[in-house]
Amino acid sequence: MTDERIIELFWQRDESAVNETALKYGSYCRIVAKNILGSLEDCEECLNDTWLRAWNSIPPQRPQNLKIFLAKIARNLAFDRYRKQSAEKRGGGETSLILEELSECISSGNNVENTVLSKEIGVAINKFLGTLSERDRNIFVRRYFFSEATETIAKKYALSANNIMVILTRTRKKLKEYLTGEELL
Amino acid sequence: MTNEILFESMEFIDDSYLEKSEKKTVKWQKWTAIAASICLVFMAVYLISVMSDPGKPPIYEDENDFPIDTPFENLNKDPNSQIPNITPEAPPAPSPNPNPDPNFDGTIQREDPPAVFPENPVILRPGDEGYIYPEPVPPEIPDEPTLPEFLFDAVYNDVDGAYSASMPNIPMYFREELSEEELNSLELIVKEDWMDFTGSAGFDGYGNLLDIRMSTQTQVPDVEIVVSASKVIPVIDYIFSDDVEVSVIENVDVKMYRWEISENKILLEADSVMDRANVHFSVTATAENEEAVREDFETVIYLYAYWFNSERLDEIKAEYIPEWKDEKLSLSEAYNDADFGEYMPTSLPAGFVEESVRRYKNYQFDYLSGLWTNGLAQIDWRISYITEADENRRTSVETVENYDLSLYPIPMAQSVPDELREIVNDPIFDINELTLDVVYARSRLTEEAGDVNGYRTNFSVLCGDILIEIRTKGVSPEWIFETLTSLK
Repeated sequence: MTDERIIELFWQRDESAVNETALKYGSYCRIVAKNILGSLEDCEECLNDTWLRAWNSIPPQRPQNLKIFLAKIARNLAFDRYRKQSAEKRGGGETSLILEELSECISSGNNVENTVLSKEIGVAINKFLGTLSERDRNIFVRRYFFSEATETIAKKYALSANNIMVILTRTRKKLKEYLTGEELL
Repeated sequence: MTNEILFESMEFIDDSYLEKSEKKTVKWQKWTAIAASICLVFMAVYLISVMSDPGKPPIYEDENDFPIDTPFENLNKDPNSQIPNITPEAPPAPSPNPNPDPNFDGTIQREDPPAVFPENPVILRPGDEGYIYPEPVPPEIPDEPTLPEFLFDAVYNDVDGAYSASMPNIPMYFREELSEEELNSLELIVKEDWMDFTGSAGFDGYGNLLDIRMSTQTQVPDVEIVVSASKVIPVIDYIFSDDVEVSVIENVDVKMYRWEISENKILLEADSVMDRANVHFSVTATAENEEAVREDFETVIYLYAYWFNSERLDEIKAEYIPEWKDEKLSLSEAYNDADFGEYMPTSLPAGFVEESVRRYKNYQFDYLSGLWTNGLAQIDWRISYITEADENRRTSVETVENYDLSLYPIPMAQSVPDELREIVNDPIFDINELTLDVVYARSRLTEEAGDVNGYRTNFSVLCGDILIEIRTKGVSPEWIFETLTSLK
């Protein structure tokens, strides 16, 4: 079924929209969630929440790209769950590593949370991504949005995992400089 | 929790970026798709032209191939078929031949096309009046690969010396010029206009590739950059006063060196592991041109860091394995050598004993040599075929400035003009022109503490295409002259 048709079903409040979405994007969103949570069991709950949130969001929203829309929901929910789990000290998949990597982009002694909203940083990240080569941008997105393991990204881009790590290190360094330049850090 | 905020901020990444990251970006796929599209376009044009040509009958190699029994009919005959019983419109059966031909092979022949086509023919053939030739479809030209953005700071480490030779000694090693095809496969996908690489490959005695060496002129006249790559030969070890700083070029670590070899001669080198191969770059500069040379040097390194693919090395194959031998002979065996035996000295000055007689042949050298000693005195005798590289050293005995050592006091580095250095160091005389005076002109009488007193002599003579190189210490010019003239 096409995305347009699925969105129509959501708008018509037809519950088959959820089934069709799960059928089409279940495995995709499962991977997104699993990259963050690391556990399939947790993913299933996260996926059910994803369909529910999509149901509650459409309408009023009419996503341009349903797949990415769902990926974002799944990612958010998975990260919420990750935070809850990390408070309980369990699970985590790639996330703890990714968070550790991202801490390099934050100036020590400065609390981003207190100075800007994540949305403003998001806007800056978008601009920053526009300055990167397509390859480096894609690798950054695969790692920090989709939380993919470096080995997985390496296979996708026919590079070594080590190479991916080097590219990410350099990109994070650039991101830090960019955010500093934008006075966001 | 700051990193969590940053992680959450990724949510606001543009959908377009997220979408693009899902797509495979391996370039060859894009190119393959373009090539496939072009092929399809041409195939379609060809098929249309064939199908619209009424002069060409359909050809069936076997009468059983004639499509009377269609697959659909076969399916319909199968009572167990799960496929709906569709009865397609059957093709018209061929009309019976009114004049049965015993040679009829079952194929249906179209009637000859009419000499004159109707006024409004449904199908026109190429060449018919009114036939409109289709506009040629220009092939889609993919975007030219462009030079990557040049972004790196080269850090040159000052070198104090080297630990090892630039190339290990590998028995049976040989080199071959790279064929054009091999050269093309190794060339950079994108390069500057001034880059024009030539190259050679080194192999072991079994034809396994050991290294490749490519070189290109730079924009600075008479300055050449050499790039060598190998999966098996290690890079050179240098001696440094300070810690080595690494330059990072396109995510590849490169160690860059600067070595002042002599006054106004600077060697710039770089070593890196690129795509699992050891890659070495070198160029020689002077104080005057160093800046310009560096620019070209760094460009070459950058492009290699960007494009080098070690898998291409696996495609390099030896055309043939040259003969190799390294034999220690007795003097009598040496006299029997078919190529050079007759040019060995038949007698030696009193007191000299044999150190070694060697027959050596590889892709580059082919010689018979003998070394005899008497305490610190020695005779080094080497016989080979003359090569093109030797031609520059040939001189007539008339041109004394080419060989007379009495004109050039020690240190010769200061007394011999640059343009004569090669020939004065080792001139080649025609054996028929050789005189005792010439031998004396090539001999320098020395008395050095701790060494044998007497003449140090060196030169070469040519007997036809045979070159005899003589280096002696403590041997009289008379013995040399008599031995050589006896070979005429």
